[in-house]
Amino acid sequence: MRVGVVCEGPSDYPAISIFLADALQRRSITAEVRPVFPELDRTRPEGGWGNVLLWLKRNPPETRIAKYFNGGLFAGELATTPLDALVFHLDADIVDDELFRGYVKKTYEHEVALHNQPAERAGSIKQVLRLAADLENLTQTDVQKHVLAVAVEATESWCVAAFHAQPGEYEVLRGQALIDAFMTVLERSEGRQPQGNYANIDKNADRRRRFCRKHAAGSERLIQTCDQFKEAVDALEVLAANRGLR
Amino acid sequence: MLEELLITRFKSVREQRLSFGRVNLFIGGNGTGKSNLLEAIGLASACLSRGLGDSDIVQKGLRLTPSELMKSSFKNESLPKTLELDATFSRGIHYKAALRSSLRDPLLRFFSESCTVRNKKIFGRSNRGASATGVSHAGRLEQNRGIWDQIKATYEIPADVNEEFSEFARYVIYTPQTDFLRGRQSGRVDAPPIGLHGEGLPEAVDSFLNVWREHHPRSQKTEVSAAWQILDACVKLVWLPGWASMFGVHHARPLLTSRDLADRSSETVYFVDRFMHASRNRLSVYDSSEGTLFLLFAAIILAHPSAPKVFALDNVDNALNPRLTRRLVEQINFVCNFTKVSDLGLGARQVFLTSHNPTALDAFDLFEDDQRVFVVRRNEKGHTTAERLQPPPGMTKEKWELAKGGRNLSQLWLDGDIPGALGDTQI
Repeated sequence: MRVGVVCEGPSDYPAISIFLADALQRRSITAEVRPVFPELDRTRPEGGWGNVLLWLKRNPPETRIAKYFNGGLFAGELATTPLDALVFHLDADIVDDELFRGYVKKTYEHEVALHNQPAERAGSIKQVLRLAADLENLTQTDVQKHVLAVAVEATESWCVAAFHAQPGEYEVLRGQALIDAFMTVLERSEGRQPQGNYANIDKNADRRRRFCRKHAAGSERLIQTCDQFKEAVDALEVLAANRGLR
Repeated sequence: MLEELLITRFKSVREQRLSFGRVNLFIGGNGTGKSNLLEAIGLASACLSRGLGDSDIVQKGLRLTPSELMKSSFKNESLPKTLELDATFSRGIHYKAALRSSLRDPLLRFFSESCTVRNKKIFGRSNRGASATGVSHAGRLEQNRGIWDQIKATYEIPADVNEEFSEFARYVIYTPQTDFLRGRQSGRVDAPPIGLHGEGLPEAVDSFLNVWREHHPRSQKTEVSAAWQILDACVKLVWLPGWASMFGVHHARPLLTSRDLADRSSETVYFVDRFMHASRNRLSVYDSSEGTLFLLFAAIILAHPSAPKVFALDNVDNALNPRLTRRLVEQINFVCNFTKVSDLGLGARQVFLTSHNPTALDAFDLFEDDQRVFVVRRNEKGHTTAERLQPPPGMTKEKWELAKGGRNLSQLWLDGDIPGALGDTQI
């Protein structure tokens, strides 16, 4: 199964691609996951919801279908191998972001609902993704190929969940608690003593990739503890079954 | 017109068939073999020109690669004895040459050669002998010079063959260089009107302007000739950067000439800067913008009556900003489209380009058969491949516009949506 990923930034991609591929493999689906967003120039922010929403704007449904599901924009040897699915990622923590809410209201005339519970927060983001991807105007077959993967609150939460041996409530971690939890497992994973009171999350994509590869098997725990991750894996499994890719 | 070329075992090209239009652009990563493709065309031209000696090769703009290294050499493949060029021209003319080399011989030599017109043999040679127009030529042919060049003056070759071959035999690869254009370096002009790197610019500009004046309409009521339209459109290339209002050739006063010029006593090209004081507004090529010089060079090779009608321009975007790159390529398309319908005695008829500037693509209509873009890549074995960039079959312009999301081809290139166009970077 060939899966393309559109995510907020380079540091999110390892968690999405590695954990999804591992979880699918456990369901006997071999997934070839690849990033589909272009290399960003140095002026742009390293990540953020804008990357995903503006990507969707630049790639309207006709473009997405032609480019990714129908073999690309060119003929002959320059045609590309079609993807079976596109995964769209956003972090749920942007629900509270005024800039995001303002953009959504202005662009899609939609008021982002403020919630506190993980499932509801994810629901708010998924609604925005549906609007941005214009899923309403796609056929059911094409809608199925658009898989929404909302990380509650962030892909760092998935990393924390993948690291810990015991299931926990990782989707409720927010703000400083999430920063500390993630940086602690990152340092532990590298054999370092956690320092505590971290100012920021380390967004280094190479470091993140090493972490995710090391803890890829943690995708099993992710399924148990992160409902949105499980939902994305389930959607990909259904798609694979429909397309005879198991 | 060269319609098709099958290149076999030439440098990085293991085997590649290319079907050409009038304007052909090669794009792709660095080191993929774009220049090798231009050189393969050049070598085919050399086979029909004065020969395969060092000076013949250099005059075409090919690198003077040792003959043994002209042949492909790939891992896990035996070293070939020959390389082959199989060319199909308009009017059913077909020419094929197999060239051999060895470590004991510095030059490429003909192993075999043949020409047919509408399946009728015109000339040929192999290890079994040689013949032209039905007459045997065994032992009388030079081995590093093509048959056509040796017999064209004395044998009755069909006129259409002579026309096609004469035009193609003048093919050269232009690679303009600033130092030659500015006059800091001087060099030979092997074929008129200008050297491959810009040598002899003043003489070329002078004769170009003379032709331009000759074709200038006598009055506003005079009907404008097709030749004038090409000449004037090419002259206007020079105005594109926006600062020059006139150019010409003169003997500059020594004190107003740079001491850095190779020859300060000869005529030099000047531009009139429309922003400068009238008494000091003549800028020499030495002080002019590089892009303007490049556009002047392009104007000459596109429209000068002595210029080859078939040529290559390596790095057409040289020194030009993105918008000017597009405008120049549009101009090349305009000229080649113009000469397609009428033989004016001037104006390029078939052009081969390379570019690393995405906006060069925006000058192409991929639905138009005369305008072709090729994406050059290396396959997993390292062989150079060139694939024509075309919309999927059955796609209309309107449908394709939707599929592209309203983006220009240059944007598709930058977005990584043209497979291979950005190169397969290992970094």
